[in-house]
Amino acid sequence: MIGKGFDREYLEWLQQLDADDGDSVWEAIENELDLIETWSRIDMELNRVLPQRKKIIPLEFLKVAGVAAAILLMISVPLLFVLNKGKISRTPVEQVISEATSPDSVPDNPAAPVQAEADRDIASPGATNNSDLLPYTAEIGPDPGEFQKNYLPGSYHEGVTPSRETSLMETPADTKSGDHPGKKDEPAISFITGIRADIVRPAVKGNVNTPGLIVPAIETTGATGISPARFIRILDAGLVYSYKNSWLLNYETWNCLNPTKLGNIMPTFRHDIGITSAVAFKEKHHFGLEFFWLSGAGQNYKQYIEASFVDRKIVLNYFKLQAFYLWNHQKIPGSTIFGGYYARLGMAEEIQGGQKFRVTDDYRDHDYGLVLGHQLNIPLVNSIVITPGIRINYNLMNIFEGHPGAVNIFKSTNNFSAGLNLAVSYSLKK
Amino acid sequence: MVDRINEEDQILLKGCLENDRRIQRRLFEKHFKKMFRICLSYSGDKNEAKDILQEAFIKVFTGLDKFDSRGSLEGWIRRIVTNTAIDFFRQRKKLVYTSAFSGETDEDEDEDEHVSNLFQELTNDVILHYIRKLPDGARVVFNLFAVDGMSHREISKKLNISEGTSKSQYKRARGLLQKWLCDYQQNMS
Repeated sequence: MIGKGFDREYLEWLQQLDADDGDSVWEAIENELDLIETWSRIDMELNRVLPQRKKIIPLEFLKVAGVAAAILLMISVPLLFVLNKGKISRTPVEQVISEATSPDSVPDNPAAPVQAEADRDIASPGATNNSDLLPYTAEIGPDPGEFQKNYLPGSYHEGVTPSRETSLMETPADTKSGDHPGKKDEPAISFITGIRADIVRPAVKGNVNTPGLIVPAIETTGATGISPARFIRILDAGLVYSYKNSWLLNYETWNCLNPTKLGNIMPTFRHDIGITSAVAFKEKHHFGLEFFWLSGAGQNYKQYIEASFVDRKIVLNYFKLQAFYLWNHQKIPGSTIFGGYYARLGMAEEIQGGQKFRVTDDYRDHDYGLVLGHQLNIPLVNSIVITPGIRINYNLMNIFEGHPGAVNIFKSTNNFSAGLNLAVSYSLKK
Repeated sequence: MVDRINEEDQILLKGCLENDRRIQRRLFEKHFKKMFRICLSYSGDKNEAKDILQEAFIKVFTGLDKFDSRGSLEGWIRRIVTNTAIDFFRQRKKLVYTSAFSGETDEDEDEDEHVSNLFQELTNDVILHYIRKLPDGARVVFNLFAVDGMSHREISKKLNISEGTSKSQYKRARGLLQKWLCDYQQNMS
């Protein structure tokens, strides 16, 4: 037959072409066919002819629940403060006074008159502002352990007025140090009889007026001055680093958790690097501010392509500004944080089999969400405080932009991360 | 009959039948290169080839319940792609069956050995380039005859042309391809 050999050779060549995956011709073919674009068009058409049933996945529920919880927290916490304002705004001294002036409390302490006398003897003339308090404060004086138990619970006190508190703890060393000029007539020892300076001293070292400190919140200020609380005050500033497990939550990643599906989500770790600061409003409410010049997000996974698993990695780098409220619980050491963040996309790339592709246009420039966590403030030396903590971030918008024909399953992508946080801060003196 | 569908294809098939878009994408990713090559071999224009590929895969996903799992899934997809390509040209009436150019020979058995060398010596890129350069009508007939193994009678029915036209278009395609490849090789040497 005419041309039989030619046909055979042509057919053999085609078969060899099919088998030869590594040939450059495949690359050329692949370059000519935009996989994502073509699939997008197929996906759109399939959505028309074979619409997918909407799955009710827990993720949707989690999102709603997360938003609801955040709103609830934001409403309940200020309410809690308002309702407990009377209690939490008092200093330990005020609480002592309150308890002492209570008619029920006097008979309970038979040593009171004697102790009151003793305290009057050692009271400073300079402490005249508090002179009315002396008989009462003395009543609880003899038991320093009790004082510590009641008023130095080991975490930062909301609403404590440091100057008053310090006046109780002042030692000769403080007055001599020149910290408070003009107060040389201050009492050499605390007028709360029995409290030894060395009990409170370790806590006084350095500036410990940082929210969430696991040491008593006492600072060295004027002995008698009841300074008005400043509206806003920077408590500390430092560097923060976070190592976190990051997830891009979408149809793809969700299904890859299912082992029967062809694809594997890989544990993905990214990090954040930035600066941090804590501020106090009226010495009562504390807020944290963090700016990350590098905040990583993304997802590593293996995708089943052409009968083999291919490593794929989505890398998203953001600039992130994070603000949160520091809630210092009386019984739990440290601060619980809750707040929000805003992030701007700096770079987005996809790494597939070692090759990098810029995909910045596929992701939205802006992102915002919630931050929750808990942290401890541990004084290291003098004014240096390290703050280890845990953080959870969840974004509230779809970060995937794509193009009008983007594949539907990628159209809704959320960002979630949970990780360890470590900040090293310098506490600023008041 | 031997069950030829492998485990991987079974997973893909099941997912696609459940209308799982992710699995459908997997199936597409697995076969798109080969199928695109087929589309390109039928259409010289890449945009047309994309359209054919897209249409073919929609047919694949919507008609997967008709697939007989005793056969090869790839073979089934290939048939759909080929048929879609033919339909594409038939519907758009794009195929123009031009007459053979002068100097084209019918009896070129002697050329075959030379052509055999050509396929071995030339790069895939070059061969693909010249295949895409063939006139549409000639290229489609050539593919149906040489690649899909159809007879001229079957081709004539599929394309609504006469058997004679099918034969002449096949010869034309083969003659052009031989000539271009030989010329290219001579120029290179």
